[in-house]
Amino acid sequence: MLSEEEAGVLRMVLTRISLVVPLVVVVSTAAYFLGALSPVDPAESVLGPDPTQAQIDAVHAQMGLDRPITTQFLEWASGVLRGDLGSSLFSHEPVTTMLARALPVTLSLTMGGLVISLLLGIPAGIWSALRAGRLGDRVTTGAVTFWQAVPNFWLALLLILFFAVHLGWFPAVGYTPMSEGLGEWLRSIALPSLALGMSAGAVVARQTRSALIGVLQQEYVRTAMAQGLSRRRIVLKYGLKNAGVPVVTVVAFEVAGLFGGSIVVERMFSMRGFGTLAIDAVLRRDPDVIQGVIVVAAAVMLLVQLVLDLSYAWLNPKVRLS
Amino acid sequence: MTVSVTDPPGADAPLATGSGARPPGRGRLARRLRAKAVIPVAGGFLALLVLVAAAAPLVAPFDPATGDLLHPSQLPSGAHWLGTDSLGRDVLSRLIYGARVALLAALVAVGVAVALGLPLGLVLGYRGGWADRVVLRAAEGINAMPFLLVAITLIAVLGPGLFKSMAVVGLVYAVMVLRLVRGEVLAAREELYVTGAAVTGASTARILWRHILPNIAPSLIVQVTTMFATSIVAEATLSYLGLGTQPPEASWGNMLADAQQSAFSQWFLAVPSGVAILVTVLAFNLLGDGIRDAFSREDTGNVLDARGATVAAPAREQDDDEPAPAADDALVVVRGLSVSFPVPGQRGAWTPAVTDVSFSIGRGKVVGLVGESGSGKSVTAMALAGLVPSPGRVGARSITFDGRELAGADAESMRALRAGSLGVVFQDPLKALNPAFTIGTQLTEGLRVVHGMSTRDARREAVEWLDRVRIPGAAARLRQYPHEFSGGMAQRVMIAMALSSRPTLLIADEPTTALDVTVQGEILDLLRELQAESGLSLLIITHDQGVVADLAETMLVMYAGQLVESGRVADVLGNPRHPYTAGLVASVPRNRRRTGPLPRIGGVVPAADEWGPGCRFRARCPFATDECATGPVPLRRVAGGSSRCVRTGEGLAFADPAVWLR
Repeated sequence: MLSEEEAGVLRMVLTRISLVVPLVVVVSTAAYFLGALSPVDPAESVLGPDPTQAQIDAVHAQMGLDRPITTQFLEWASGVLRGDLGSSLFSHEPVTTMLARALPVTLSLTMGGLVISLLLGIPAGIWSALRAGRLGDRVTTGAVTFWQAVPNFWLALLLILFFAVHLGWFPAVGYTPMSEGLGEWLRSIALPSLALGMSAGAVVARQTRSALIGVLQQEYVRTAMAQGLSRRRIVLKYGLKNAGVPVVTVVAFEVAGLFGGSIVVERMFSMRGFGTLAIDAVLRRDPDVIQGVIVVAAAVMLLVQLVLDLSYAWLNPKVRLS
Repeated sequence: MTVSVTDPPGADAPLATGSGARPPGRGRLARRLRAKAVIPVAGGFLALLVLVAAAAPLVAPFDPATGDLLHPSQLPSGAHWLGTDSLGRDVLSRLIYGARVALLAALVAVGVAVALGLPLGLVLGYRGGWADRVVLRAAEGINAMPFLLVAITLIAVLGPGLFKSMAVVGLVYAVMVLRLVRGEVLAAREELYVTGAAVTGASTARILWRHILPNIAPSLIVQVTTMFATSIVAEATLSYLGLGTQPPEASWGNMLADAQQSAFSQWFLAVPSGVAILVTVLAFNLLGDGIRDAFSREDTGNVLDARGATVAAPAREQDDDEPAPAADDALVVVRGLSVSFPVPGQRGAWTPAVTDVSFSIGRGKVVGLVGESGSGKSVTAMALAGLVPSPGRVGARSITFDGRELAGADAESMRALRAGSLGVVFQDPLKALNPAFTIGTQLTEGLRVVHGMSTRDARREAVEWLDRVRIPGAAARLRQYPHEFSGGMAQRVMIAMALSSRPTLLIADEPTTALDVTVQGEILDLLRELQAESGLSLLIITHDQGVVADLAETMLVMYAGQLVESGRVADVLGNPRHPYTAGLVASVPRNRRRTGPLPRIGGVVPAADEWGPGCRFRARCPFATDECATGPVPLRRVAGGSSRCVRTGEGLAFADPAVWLR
């Protein structure tokens, strides 16, 4: 038997899944049919410039693109239900294999960027909020505004030039899987994570600052003061938990942003992650690969949303019961 | 230490009584926008950028697409101010043409976003219904996906190219605009004037255009500004990836891609386009921040930085009688307490909230503090507890608590005082309790952290206290959160929390105002009982004379930041010596027969800048004479108390209800 609280959490998880799954179905279906309207013809990238119509038709037949689009879709969809996401038109490699190879790269960068953004953003936000309106706050907020404007792929380029090329501390290109050693893995993702995490950290800092300023004006902070609790304890124990909800929300958005941002940054570092997969597929129109990218990205975001919902429930007890 | 004229009064100057303070100006928006230095600076830069971009063919020194292959990858020189790229093209010229692309691209994206998102958001927010729910769900889903991935997927459909890509970016942004507008419309729709317009039969289009749009304009303008910034980055990103501007056309994004190709041989190429993006994005963001700040001022004060009273100079602006010497066993003696707050938006201007208040509280005695909202009674009590939120300033000639001088005490001594000798019960218990922690955590926190009890002892003590304030099932309720308590029960928790550190003074700030009438009596009974039991002193703040008559022995009446009358409760309520007190007494419904109009004090408590030089009550006083306006009215000692009225002692029937029937 579940307790009332557990039942509430379970209900929340199921609601979230029931909202996102139809969305993924709709989006991937729409993307499939819209993709057929794309002006890019996969045959062109196989045949090179100025092919004859006969050549094009032959390639189409070979790729199975001459069949009706509904037939193609149904075939793909029935495959998805069996766990088969199809294969690339060009390399004939199964999409699941391609995704399994690319996802760790992108997830490593996303998580690395997230860790850096939190390590930078939360202390900066707290520091700023506790000095709100005073010099320290204005200087920090100014720095944060500046960092927010630094494009992550430009920062990536500067980091490569300085730390990899000039100082030689980190590899300039390439991803080392975790299986080849934790240290090497960390070294390979350090610079891209930093490039991703800096501007995301600026957003986290802003949100932490304004959330904490809001919380510190609440009456329950005065109650804690009236109890004679120390400033430090009020901020670290009471303030941060209450300020958590808006901060967690922005962090969830940041995860999506970092995931997208890693598409560019991994290009900068010549890592073969999700972005390279997606962009190559878009430029040549490789339908199964595009679909695979969409479905898996949606699944990752679903997971993020679930974690977000669970942390809301912890941060704000009222959510648990409603 | 030098004291400049802009220094707030407090430490060494008597607090101003409104002469120096200006009302919080509701200046015109244009003035507020100009007042932010960042707006003209950022806006000016962007205007210049637009100008340069528009005049690119005239301004750019070279053709952006044709290079001088004999002079590739050069550092800045007289001929090429920013050097040349790997194909020998002039970097400055490409940068200028790139600005054109960037701004145009941003315009496309933002244009699409507003053109689609604004009308849809307006209609959905105003109409509601199932369409609203469906669209909102879809919008949430799209916004939860990685933005770049959504854009790339859609570009897969349309094919690469600058304008197609930016239209796609605009489509994703439209979803954000839609959500913002919808939310704002929902809020605005509830506003009275909108409901009013709907009742008078205005058409939907007219209501949306005339009443709702102006209301949501500020947040929309801010979002559009930030969207320009993110569009610039989006264009650069997509062009860098090869999905936007196609080479050889210049864009800041593909300039960076070129720079990366040759970065190892010529690092400088990475600088100009990156700086261009950075500065442009920064300008848009600063503009957005500036506009937002102009519309809504951030309130940054908080009670965390509250400081105790500073020692104020003994000089007094009023020629008050020296207060009757406090009894030898008085627990609290306050002399010349003043509190002031800064005027929002005006540096160095301070507005007084409480001026020169003196009183004392005997050991084991109950003192009632009454007055209308805005009279300064809560501020007075919070000043005593050192809980006036920063940046408020508290000054006093002297505040002694149990013989200890608190004027000039640092924040740490005030904290120690609150931890031990002083407890506070606030007005709204459901706001005063922290929603994110259980009652048990909050109740035991002080016992554990401040009084060093073990968790187990603290819990046992907490259960005892909940029993004592008559909360049934105490042990189980410790595990509950504040929202699971009714107002009355929550106030019992607050009382238990305040008393658990065994204070000698309890400040109860309107402890029953936020509660149902039915439970008010219970809470008051509880307070009286606990006070009698433990022999603590109680300062009870209320606007309800019934409460004072019930509980207190002496009472203080405050008006517009001043003490206007004090004395034994029976004397003050039975025979008021100040017209204000008399008006309060006369306007209590239960003191009157229930026929005809009710007696009342006309008007409202004046703001500090309306106090003027004379009696602060004169505008509302039926007994006011010319003499009342001439100068400060001193507080005079009268039998068993004091009164601040020039006509006290003239034998006037202040409390005659007929006088207050106007």
